[in-house]
Amino acid sequence: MREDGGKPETLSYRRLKLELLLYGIAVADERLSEKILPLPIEEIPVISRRVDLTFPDGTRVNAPLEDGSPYQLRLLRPGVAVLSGKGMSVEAKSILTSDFHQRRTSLGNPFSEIGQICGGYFFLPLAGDPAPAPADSPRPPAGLAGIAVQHDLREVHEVLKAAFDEGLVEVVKIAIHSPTAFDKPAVERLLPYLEMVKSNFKCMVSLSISPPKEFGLLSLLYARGVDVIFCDLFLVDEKRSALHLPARSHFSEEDIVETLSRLVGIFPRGTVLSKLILGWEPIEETERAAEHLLSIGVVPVLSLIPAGRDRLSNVVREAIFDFLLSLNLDLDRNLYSRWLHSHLHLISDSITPNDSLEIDMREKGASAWTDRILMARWSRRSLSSAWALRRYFKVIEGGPASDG
Amino acid sequence: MADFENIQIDRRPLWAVLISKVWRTALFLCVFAGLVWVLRHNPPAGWTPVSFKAFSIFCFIVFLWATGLIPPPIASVFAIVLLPMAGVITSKEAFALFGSESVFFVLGALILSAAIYMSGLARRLALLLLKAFADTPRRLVTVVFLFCALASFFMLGNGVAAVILPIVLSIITELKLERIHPNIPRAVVTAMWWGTSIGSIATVLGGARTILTLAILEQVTGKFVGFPGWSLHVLPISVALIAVALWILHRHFALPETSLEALRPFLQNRLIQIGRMRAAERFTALVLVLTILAWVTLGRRYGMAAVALSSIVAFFVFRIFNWEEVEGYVNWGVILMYGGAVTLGVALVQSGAAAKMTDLLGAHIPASGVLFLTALFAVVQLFTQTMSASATVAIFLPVALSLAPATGVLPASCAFAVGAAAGLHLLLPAGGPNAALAYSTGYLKTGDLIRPVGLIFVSSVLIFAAVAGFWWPVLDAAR
Repeated sequence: MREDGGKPETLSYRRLKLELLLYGIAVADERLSEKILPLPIEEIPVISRRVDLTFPDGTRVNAPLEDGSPYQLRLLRPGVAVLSGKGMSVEAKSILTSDFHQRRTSLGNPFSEIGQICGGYFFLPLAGDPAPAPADSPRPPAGLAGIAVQHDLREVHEVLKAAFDEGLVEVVKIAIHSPTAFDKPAVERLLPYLEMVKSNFKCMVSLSISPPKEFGLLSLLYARGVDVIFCDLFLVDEKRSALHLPARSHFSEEDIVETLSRLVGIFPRGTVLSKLILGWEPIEETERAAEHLLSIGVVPVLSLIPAGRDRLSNVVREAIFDFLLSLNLDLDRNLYSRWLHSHLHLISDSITPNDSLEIDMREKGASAWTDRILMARWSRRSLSSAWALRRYFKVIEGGPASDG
Repeated sequence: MADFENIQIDRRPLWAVLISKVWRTALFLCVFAGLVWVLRHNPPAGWTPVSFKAFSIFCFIVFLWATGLIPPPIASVFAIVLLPMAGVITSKEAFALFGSESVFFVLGALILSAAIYMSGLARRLALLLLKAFADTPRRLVTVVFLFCALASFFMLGNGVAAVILPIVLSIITELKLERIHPNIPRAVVTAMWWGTSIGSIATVLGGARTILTLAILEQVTGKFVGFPGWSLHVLPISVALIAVALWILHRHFALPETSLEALRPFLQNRLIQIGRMRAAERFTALVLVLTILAWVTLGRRYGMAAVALSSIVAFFVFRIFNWEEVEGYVNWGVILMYGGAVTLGVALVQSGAAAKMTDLLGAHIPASGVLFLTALFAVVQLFTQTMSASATVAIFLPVALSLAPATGVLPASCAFAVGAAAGLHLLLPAGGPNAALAYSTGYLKTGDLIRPVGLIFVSSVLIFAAVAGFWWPVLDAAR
């Protein structure tokens, strides 16, 4: 990253990620808008107008498009954009500047209907029920209608292969949006896709679930190859939760925390994640919830309210920015622990303890080489192999029922 | 969809899981490296290189059979590979032993037993007997015990346990027998366990280890013992033990004389559910009777294997079963166990290792033949509580056969002692599949059975000593 006058680096990419998540990116060039968005911008819900960038050090951000942002984006060449603002400019890879989402499958469906690339993640929403997608999804699936369609396995394979060919995707995140509890039928729908991904692509698989009807299902998910699992708390305050996320009224905070505790007993350290939404409730409550999640072994992932859905005032943004800068979620700082959490770098639309840790360590002058190791793709590949080895040793098929 | 009830996650720390998963491989490699080291060095004084190699491989395979580091049938295959590689016998000799009549007798007996199990005949007989005689808890225990013992004369004891267990469990739960007296379920499952175990030693059909015993005896010594020969020697032990065990069961569990009025209608319903006797059951019963008659009358003339295989052919000619059904019920590992055990036995004798072992042990074995056989019976019975019966036979029989001349007992007597003792899984839950099934019901605790288990063990040894001391000489004299 350089300032306009070519001066040396003055701002970390992680801090830039915070700024972009909070203040968004302006795209003045209409041609670029056409290029990076799957539909004319007026046809896309405000919540879904986002752009995905990867900075030279590997930091990924999925930032909202906002007209008044101090940061502007312009297309340099296919696959590469230039971000400038606040006296600096930086080149960034962007999947959205390629034609990935405009392409169609051999059956004629747009790639964007099957799933979307977001950071190092490929989001694959599966049909489960007519519930709307969670508020924090990068884009509503299935033609922006908010309802996932059960796609043919071969079609999903085709899109996934194209996504991996783009070179940025390392995790396939499958989401089954269940307004009621996660149950056997949901697992039955999920397993063919899970098995297809695990047997055809060398990647991590992430899954987003609601609290299950039977905790034994959690062991099955781990045994069948789920590497990283989300069970999102979103908001702590029940009244605010009912107001902003009515579809989640079936679950109490206790249900979710109980599920997370069970998951921690099954999955490896650093792979049970829960999203918290910043900005809809007092920051202190979010911080307390994040610390509680960490205390039970769950990694909190701090998500910002999607831009445009309920625009934040500048005062709130400043408060959140200050909070995130001072955020010091208590992860172990030894190299091994940081390696176990290195997959969190792939999350582009939220802040993870890794991001806050990295900001803190960078300011304390942490060595650059450990940073480079942990950001390297081979580091995450080795982590993925370690997870597979752990699964091989830990899963006992044919044993008595596990209580999860 | 995969059945999530069958998936369990090991909650121990990963290092503990790793150690638990790799220790067997590590131990195997260490012991194998030790064997290679021993084979590459000169033998101790008094041993020829070939006899010492045979002895070393025997110890290695015994270690594998005893520890179960790899499945016993695979350990047996390994023996067949190691002996030619070490130059003890030729490869041709090692594999030629699979071509003997004994292999096909093992195969025929196993398939016959599987046919009885599959036909449903045993289940029907169990229900009929219980309906006819079991009207009090004491009689229920007696009928279960006697049925298990007698049925195990004609089919594998473990198969009888698998047939009877669902029936007794449903009786226990449906009639709430535990409420009538807490000892009733314990006595019933112990009766099933002991009955199948004691009955299975009476004939060659009761367990694969009996067939293995006779096959090793024939290969190593050339001595043929058929169905009647085995039963004439061992049936008295089994019958006496049945009487003693029944007395111990009633005395230890002290069951009430309450009437079990609900039992008869319950069993009647079960009989209605399984319907009239099917052709397969009738045919199986007929073939079984004819086979036993043929073994007794024609076994020596045509061979035991030919009789067994003829019966098997009949099942397929009349399309009573199909091959796929039979495949699932036959313990094919026993064939491999047999191959390894026989090869080892032959190698020990041919190489001179057996003679050397006899020299070494000769000073420590009892001078009296009956005492030697009784000690052998007791030791084998103790070992079989923690090892598979076939592995116990494969370990002890070749050694016992090599010691037989020094003690003045007939090799066949050693085989009867080892084969009978190996089938008596009466002491521990790990003793055999029937013991494991009894303990899996949850009604038994090891601590509750110390006295009856001690009594049955002492009784079995005394009964064996009496039969070996008084009955076997009579039979030997009559030949």
